[in-house]
Formats: sequence, structure tokens, C-alpha cells
Amino acid sequence: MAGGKERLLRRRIRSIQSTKKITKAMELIAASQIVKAQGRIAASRPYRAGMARVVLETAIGDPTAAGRLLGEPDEVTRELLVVIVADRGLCGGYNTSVLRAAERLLAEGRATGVEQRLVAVGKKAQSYFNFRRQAVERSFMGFSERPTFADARTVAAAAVTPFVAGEVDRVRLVSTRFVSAGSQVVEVRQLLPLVDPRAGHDGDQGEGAAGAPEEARAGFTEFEPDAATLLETLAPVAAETEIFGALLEASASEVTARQRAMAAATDNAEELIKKYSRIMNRARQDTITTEIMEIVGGAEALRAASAGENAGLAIALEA
Amino acid sequence: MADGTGYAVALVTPERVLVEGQATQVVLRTAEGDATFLDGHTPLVGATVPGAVRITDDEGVERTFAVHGGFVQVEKDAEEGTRVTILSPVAEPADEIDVARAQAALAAAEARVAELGGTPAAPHGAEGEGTVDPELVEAQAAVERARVRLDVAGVSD
Repeated sequence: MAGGKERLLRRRIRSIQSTKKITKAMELIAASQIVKAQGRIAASRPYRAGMARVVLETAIGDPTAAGRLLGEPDEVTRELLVVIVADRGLCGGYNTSVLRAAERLLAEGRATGVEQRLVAVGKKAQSYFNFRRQAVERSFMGFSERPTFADARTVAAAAVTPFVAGEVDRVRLVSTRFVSAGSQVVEVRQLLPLVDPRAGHDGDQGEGAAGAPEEARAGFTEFEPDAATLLETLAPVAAETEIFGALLEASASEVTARQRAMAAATDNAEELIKKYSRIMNRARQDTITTEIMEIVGGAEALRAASAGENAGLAIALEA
Repeated sequence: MADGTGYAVALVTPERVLVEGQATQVVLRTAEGDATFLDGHTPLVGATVPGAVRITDDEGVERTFAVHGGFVQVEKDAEEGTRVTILSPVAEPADEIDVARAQAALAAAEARVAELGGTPAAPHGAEGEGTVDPELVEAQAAVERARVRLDVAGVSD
């Protein structure tokens, strides 16, 4: 019996130690990816800002051109949802919180009788909806940690085509917005019709929007082709840009969430190791104490039985 | 800054800023034909057609880029002067074009188009084509891209 418990604990500690090594490595990898992901967001900013300015200019330049491409949809009976999550787990509540928001929208849609279609980005979205037997129109995966513009285009094609073809009245995006390294929030935003930039509460276009008051600028800008036609080509591209931005922010949020989750896991592992080491040491100490007690007890018994003959052994033990 | 030293120009793609600086002349093709932008141009928003963009900087050096669609915006500001911004989903400097690779891509894309039973005439704004086979659209777009690259690199096919 002696050492059995100890061996068991030692094995468990070793297994936690190797888990800790893995989580630590993942934490470090995620930490390095955060920097890269933030860099990619920064690199995409001029393009996104430029696109926002073009949309704004077009909206101001010819207010009649909006049609169904800009502003709030009149009536929503059919909708497309694009849900962006990660391909992998091990990132805390990152996937679940987005999926929960999507689930809420789906429930709302069912309650109000809106016909909904789904486009899933990220393996986790696909498996989640499959498991819940929710039909997914298209799913994309394999680039959640490092989306390229080409990836954004393939997603955009699936999201924009039904809208352009008039099959849906609205396209909404459910994803995580990377506010800062310390804060990421799940966000539902309208992709199409394009959010009217004149409404002016969209944070991203701030730098470009400054300038002359819009009334003064209206009519001065030329459009090639005319604003209404231009908007038809512009809307899909602007939506694609929006999706690209959302993918980049989602990837940054994902690696940030993963870094945080893995740091917590590493801490947990450390704590467990400490706890089990203590239990193991106590167990070992107990065994030793028991053994000594047995030896001493045995010796005492021997001495009591034959005090005279075995005096030598008793003395040796006491020394 | 309308004193001949140039005006602000930027050529921006989603993944990087290709050009940002001063230019005296920008030539590109919009949906309605070739356009040259000089300092003081009227404010404009236009769709660009896949092709070459030539930017002459304030030292008189001309640089050529291949752009695959996008938009051009000309802004005029009383304080900052003219500013031309070219936004393109895909663009590259002419000297970065790998001719051999573009030729290979052209051949591959043409083969793909033929395989799918289409004509290599790629529609512009391929995204909008709801009814046709997306693979065909993609292959046609690839043909178009390869052609633009070869054209800009100065090789005709």
C-alpha cells in the first residue's frame, strides 16, 4: 500500500505539468498573433476610411440615388445573417457569445415571421448550427485567425449576391468588434443596405467626414458614372470592405480571447500543481512517519519481549 | 498648394497603402473613359476599370500600377488643396508583376473557362452576376486579372 497514493499523485502532477506547457505555448503564440492582427487592422484602415468617404460623398452628392442600397430598409421580411466566429475553440467565451447573439436574432426572426438565411464563417459556427439543425446556406472556414482580403471577397460574394438579386431585404453581420486589446464586444450591425453615413454615428468614418457642411458640398461633385449607377457598383464593394474589416477585427478578438483563456488555464494548472504537490508531500510524509512508527513499535515490542538478549539492537535503534 | 509642386495622391488597397505622396498627374481609366487628373480637378467620385494607373510624382517620375477595379475620389479642400484617392481591392506596381506567373495564370484561367464552357470575356463587377456559375465568373475574372497584369507590365498576349 505504501507509495500507491503518492505514485498516483505524481502521475497526475506530471500530466498537469505537460498541459501547462501546452497552454503556456498557446498563450505565447496567441500573444504574438495579437500584435500581427492589430497590425493588419491598422493596415486596412486607410482603405476602409477611403471607402467610407466615397460612400459619404455619393450619399451627399445625390441624395436621390440611395434607392434600396442605402439607409434603413422599408420593410424586412427576408433577411440574411452573416455570423463570424473562430475555427477553433480554446478561446474562452469568444465563440459562444457571438453564437448566442446570433441565436437571439434567429429567435426574434421566428417571433416576427422574418424569413432568415444564414451564412456561417468559422468552423465553430458551422458545427453549432449543424448540431442545432439550423439550415446554413454557405459556410466558410480555414481563415478565422488570418483572414485575407481574398477571403473577405468570397464571404462577401455569398452575403451580397442575394441582396443585389433582391432575394433579401437586409443583410446583417454578427461578429466581435475589437475595440482595444482590453475590450472586445459582440456586435450586430447592418451590412446592406449600407448604413447611411450621413446619420453620422458610425465611429469608423470619423476622420473622413470632417470638412464642409454637406449642404455646401452637394452638387459640386461629379460622378462617373452617375451616382445611382455608381452606388450599384459601390455598395457591394463597400459591403466587402465592411466584411473584411469585420473579419480582421474578429481575428484580433479571437486571438486576444485565446491568449486570455490560455493565460487563465496556465494559472489554473500552476495552482493545481501546487495543490497536488502539497497533498503528495503530505502523503509521503505520512508514509515515512508510519514506517518509522512501525520500526520503533517493532523494536519496542522486541525489547519488551526479551530485554536482556536484544539489548544491543535496542541501543542501536535509539542511537 | 496650387503652385505646381503637386497635390496629394494615394493609391490604397485593403492590405497596404501603395502610394502616398505628391503627384502632378494621375492617369487612369474610369467607367466613362480615360481620365487625367491635374491639380485643381473638380471633385469627383468614379468607378475605375481594371487597367493601368499612371502616377507622375512631383519629381517627374512616372510609376505605373495595375489596378483591378475600384474607385477614385477627387476631393478639393480650401486649405489642403486637391486630393486624389484611388481605392482598389487589388492593385500592384508594374515592377512587381511577375510576367511568367501572370502568363501561367492566364493560360490556366483560360483553360478553366473553356472547361466550364464559357467565353473568356469577363464581366466587370463579377459579384453582381447572380445566375451564372460562380466558378466561371471567378475563372473569367482570373483571365481578366492576368490580362491586365500583362498589359500593365508591357507584355501583350
